[in-house]
Amino acid sequence: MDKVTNVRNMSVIAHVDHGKSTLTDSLVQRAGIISAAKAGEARFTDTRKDEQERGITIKSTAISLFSEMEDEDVKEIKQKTEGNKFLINLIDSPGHVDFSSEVTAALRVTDGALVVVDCVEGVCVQTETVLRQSLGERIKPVVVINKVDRAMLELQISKEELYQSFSRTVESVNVIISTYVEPVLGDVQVYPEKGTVAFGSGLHGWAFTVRQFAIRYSKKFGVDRAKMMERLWGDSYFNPKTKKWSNKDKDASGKPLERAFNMFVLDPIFRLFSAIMNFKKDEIPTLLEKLEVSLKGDEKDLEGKALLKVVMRKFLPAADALLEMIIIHLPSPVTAQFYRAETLYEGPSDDASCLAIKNCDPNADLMLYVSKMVPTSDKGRFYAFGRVFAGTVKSGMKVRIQGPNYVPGKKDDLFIKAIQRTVLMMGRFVEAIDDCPAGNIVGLVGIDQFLLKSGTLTTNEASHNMKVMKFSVSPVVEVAVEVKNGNDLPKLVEGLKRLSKSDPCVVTSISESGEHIVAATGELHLEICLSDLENDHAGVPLRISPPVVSYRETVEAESRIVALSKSPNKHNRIYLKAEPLDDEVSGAIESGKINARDDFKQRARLMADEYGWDVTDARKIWCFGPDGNGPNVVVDQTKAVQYLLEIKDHVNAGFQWATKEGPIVGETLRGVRFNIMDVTLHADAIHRGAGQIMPTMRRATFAAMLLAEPRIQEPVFLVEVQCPENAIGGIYSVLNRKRGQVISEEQRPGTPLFTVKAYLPVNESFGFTGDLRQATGGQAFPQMIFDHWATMNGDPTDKSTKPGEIVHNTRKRRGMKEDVPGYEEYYDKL
Amino acid sequence: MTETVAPALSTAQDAGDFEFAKVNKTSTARAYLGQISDNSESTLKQLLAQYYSVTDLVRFLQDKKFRRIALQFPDSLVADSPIVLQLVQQHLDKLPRDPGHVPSAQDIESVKVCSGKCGGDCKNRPDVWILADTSYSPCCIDEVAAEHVSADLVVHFGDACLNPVDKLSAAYVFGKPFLDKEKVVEAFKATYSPDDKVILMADAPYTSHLYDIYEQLSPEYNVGYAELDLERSKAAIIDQTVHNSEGTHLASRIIHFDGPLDECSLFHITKPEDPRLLYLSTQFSSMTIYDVDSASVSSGPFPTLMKRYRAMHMARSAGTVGILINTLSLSNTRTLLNKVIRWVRGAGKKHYMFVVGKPNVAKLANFESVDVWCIIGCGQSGIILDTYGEYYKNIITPYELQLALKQEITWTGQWITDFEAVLDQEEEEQEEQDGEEEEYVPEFNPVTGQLASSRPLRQIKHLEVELGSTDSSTDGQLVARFSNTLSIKNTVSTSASYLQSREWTGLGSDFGQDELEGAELEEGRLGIARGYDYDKGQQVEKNN
Repeated sequence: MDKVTNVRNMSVIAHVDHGKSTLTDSLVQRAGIISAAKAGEARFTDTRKDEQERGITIKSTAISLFSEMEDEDVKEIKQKTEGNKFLINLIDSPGHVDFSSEVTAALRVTDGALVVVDCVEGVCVQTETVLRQSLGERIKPVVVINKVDRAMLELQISKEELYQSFSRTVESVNVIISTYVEPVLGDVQVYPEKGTVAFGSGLHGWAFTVRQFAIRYSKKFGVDRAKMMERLWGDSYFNPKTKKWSNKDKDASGKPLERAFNMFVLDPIFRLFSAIMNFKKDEIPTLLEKLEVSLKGDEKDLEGKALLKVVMRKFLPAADALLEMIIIHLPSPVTAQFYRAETLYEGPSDDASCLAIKNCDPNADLMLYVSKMVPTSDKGRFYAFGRVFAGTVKSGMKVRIQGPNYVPGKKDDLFIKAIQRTVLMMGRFVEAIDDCPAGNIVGLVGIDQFLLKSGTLTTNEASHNMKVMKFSVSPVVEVAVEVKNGNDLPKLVEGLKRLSKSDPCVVTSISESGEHIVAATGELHLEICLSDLENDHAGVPLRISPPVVSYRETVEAESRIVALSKSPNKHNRIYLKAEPLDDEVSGAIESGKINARDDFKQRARLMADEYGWDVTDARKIWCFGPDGNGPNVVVDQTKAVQYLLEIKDHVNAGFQWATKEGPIVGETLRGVRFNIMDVTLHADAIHRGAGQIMPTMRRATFAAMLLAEPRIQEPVFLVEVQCPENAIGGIYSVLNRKRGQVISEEQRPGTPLFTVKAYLPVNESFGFTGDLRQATGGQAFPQMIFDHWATMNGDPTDKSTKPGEIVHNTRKRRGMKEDVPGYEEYYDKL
Repeated sequence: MTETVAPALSTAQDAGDFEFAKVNKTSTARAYLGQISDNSESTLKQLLAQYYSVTDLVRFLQDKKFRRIALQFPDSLVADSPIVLQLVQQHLDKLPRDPGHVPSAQDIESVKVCSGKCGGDCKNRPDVWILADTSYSPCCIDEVAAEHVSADLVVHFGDACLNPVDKLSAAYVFGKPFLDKEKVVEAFKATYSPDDKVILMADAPYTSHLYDIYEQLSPEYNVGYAELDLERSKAAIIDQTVHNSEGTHLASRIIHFDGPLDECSLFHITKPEDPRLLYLSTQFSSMTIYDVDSASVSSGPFPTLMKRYRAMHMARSAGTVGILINTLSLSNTRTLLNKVIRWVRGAGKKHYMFVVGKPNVAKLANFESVDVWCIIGCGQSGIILDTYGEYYKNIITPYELQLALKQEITWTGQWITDFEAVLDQEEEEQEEQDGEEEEYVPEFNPVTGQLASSRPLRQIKHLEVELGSTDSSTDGQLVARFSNTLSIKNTVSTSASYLQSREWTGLGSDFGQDELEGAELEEGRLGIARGYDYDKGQQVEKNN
């Protein structure tokens, strides 16, 4: 642990059911934590009861493994290392799209990612999402193509077909990588011939890389290892007669040659499979001898699949292949933090803390990012789970706990507390340690009360925060909960607090009408959250309303006329115009690319270069809202107004207030730009105070919005369904009924499976899975992920349109005046 | 050389300017008098004399020998005030003190209509004043205004909360409004079935009709009715009497009904003020309101308690509480205020006290550092219920604040506005609480789903906030610099920390921020704030 160069922090990421937890098992088994027999079935990292029952991972789980490498292998590591002992901090993450936030939290504290792809299903929607996220966090991926046994046993495909399937998968992974890669990372595409792709079966516990076979054959042929590796992938053929390598698939006489990969790598595996699965008992021992696999007494009596499992595990142990790949190709914290530092730190890139992160300096001031909270056995208490980026964290150390709203030099969101204990997280167990230097992942006891979900710990007063994580998903499905028994109310509130701590993405709130709201990313997420809340966090019976969707308010045109509002004393006037903000810009603000906390000059440059803003306009952005960082802006377009800067704070406050609860249904605004055209102020400061300006700004904002063709936006899921051809008709009919919009339909080459992608409004997604199952005879299972906000056509103030109906019902439910107010309510005549 | 003309120092005004100041005269409809046959002043006088029982009032005034009398009118009845004043003055002069009393020489002397300027003659005649604009809530006796004229009696006209006042003597004249009882009974029968348990209630003036309606309904329906709880206030009541003072006391009414009230529905004639409406809706299972003008019933939407629940949670995580005084006359105001201050301080929060006259959105928004307002005011109309979210920060009652400051989250479903009841509640609490100081931990705010550090006063210990150096003689400073400190006089000032977080910190703070070239000079506006020159131009255009 102290030799940071020999640490690898990595997360296992993939689409749901591609076998992350199963694969992780084989690594855990190597470390001796679970028995070999159980590996692949135990799913050690699925620590919760419901995870085991449902067979899906819900929470990410960390585990630390120790590994030793051969000296020869160590030589191949292209970064600095010491000795041949390695510590691997591994985080197994959930694959279901609803839990993407867990993946984000896991990625933040790791430097490398093991991307698992199902050999049959190929690259799926969540594979793409997690890859995009990891590249955004500057995390280097390696790939393992899993479930090869399935392709061989179920689909019975030939060697060449298998090779083609592998190469297609690798290619599609590389396409994604090249789309989202950050230039600083260099070339992070994956190449089987370089050993960054492994193939295997998590369930059976075997895996291999081309490199492993290259080592075998290089001894045999006496060829250089590196050369051999290159030959074992791609268009490289071996002519057994001439003993020559060629890059054409035919020899001189036109006879087809076998691909080297098929001949040297797949052939032994295929032969083993056919021998064992076809019960050719006499062939097996000779084969085993050839492959240098020896069986123990009772293992010799096994037959069929069981024998196959044992043999393959001895022949090509998964842990060997994966560990080798992880250690050789994934960066150590020292390597990774050098290029990650600036994306991790909010402050200037030349201050002490940033440099300490960059150098991964264990002797500098502490910089630690807490990415999530892990429940302890003690109810209601949590381990703060995070990574030491600089300095060393010790038990009993006094640290500054900086929440997400902390600003250097201020006292908000800041606590000074001692860390009670530091621990290593080992799946469902923890191990106490005295201290933990930079570059490691650690759990902390005793600071959970001061942080809600995440935060920065430091010992340097001048340190800024580490950047807050941005999630690719958004909590758009919400329900109201109430206790069945009034006396349980305190337990519910406490339960809601624990729930929001334990999940990075769930949002709890109280609506205007006084109901407790729980908002989650999708139906499954919501279901898990609510069952946790009811059974664990609160432990009291609850009444739960049917799910509803949250909306956003926006505009579609520029305000018809300049909206004018007068202050209560009629001495001040604000002239405001609203216009739509580009969807790209809104997205960039939401994803943190355009950040309210950035230096305004840099931000203006970025907005001018990438989003076509006028530089002077971009520099004159007064504020973002709501919450100071939302996707709505106020731009000062006034000319020579005296005292204007004095009212900036009040305008800002009024704007935050207005954007938080818009005029249409009281939802947050999204994608609206407000231009302050002119301001009239009273010459006497007392008459242009907060009380005069703030409510006026709010009224002006509402008036400008209502004058600019207001619209509401609804969240839209991207749906991906894989199914056989005969089920497609059913999918289409369900999608049509639910306002879905198909964007692509393609057959996955080499399989009879079709992949249908479509946009589906979240509002219509409730019960979609069930409907789909019914319409397709259970053959189709959808994956739904929040994709974007779509503006609904139709005037929300008109009750006869669809949005109008939604608005009307929502207003009624919330106890607001039933009709949307006209702009006249907020507009003052001259 | 051209002659230099002195610049105009004052804005010229012409006829156009006075257009702004014109007030349209509106005729006042007095629906409460019923159908008025003719609009002549004498009929009106007669009707008003009847309506306000002026004769009884004057008799009361003379009996008690008050010298300085203030007549307090709510805004809705101000139109009647000159006529009432005239009537009272006339009667005071004319009426003999007592039917059996033989007028003395002095009495006869003062029987003259006098403007009060005639010197010695009418020295003995009481002064009568009109209090037209109430400082806080119109339902309460306005002590402050009465003190301005050092009155020894306030006569309160119209609907009243009957809350006891501390110092002054007071009398109530509710008025005897006209009510079409047939229509009420009809509406009642359309709303309820004979099995429903229903209580009849009305605002103070209409309460006089309740007994009659009750008589009409009681054979057929299971009804109860409410009467004014006159014993509650020490004041005299001029124009209403009580049939029976036995019954349940609730919200300045005595309710005559057998059985628990929370199972009953409430039939209320006239719509009560929002706070009272909310209070009543927590006491009864359902509510129907009868509107006298349109003779129609409505059963909602009423302000709901659930909004208060949200506000209570906001108060839990508030760091700064603004205590807003919205009454000065109610008895126990000072006691309650001191208690509230003690609660807030005990919870480690910061409080500021405000007296702003009648509160409105703009006034309260001026104090940005306040996180939640606690309003101390009359339960009938002195509490602001922010139904449409107009106020920048939530406004809660002392009772809700008390709930919010408790360790454990509680929500009783009750809503107590009466000062004494709140103080009683608190005494019960006192025994349970012990002075153990727990660790300083941020609160989870379920409204926003965020953590909030809500105990600024405890920050001193935990954040090692440097208290402003007490020893200022060392550096020879004359004035302590507050700009960098969070504490003034050894307590944390949340306002100071708020001011520091502002972008605009005073003149020159924006100097050199933008590298703008100087703007071109152009002619500015002319005129005064009420209407600048270009406004006038537009006004003219519109008129044309």
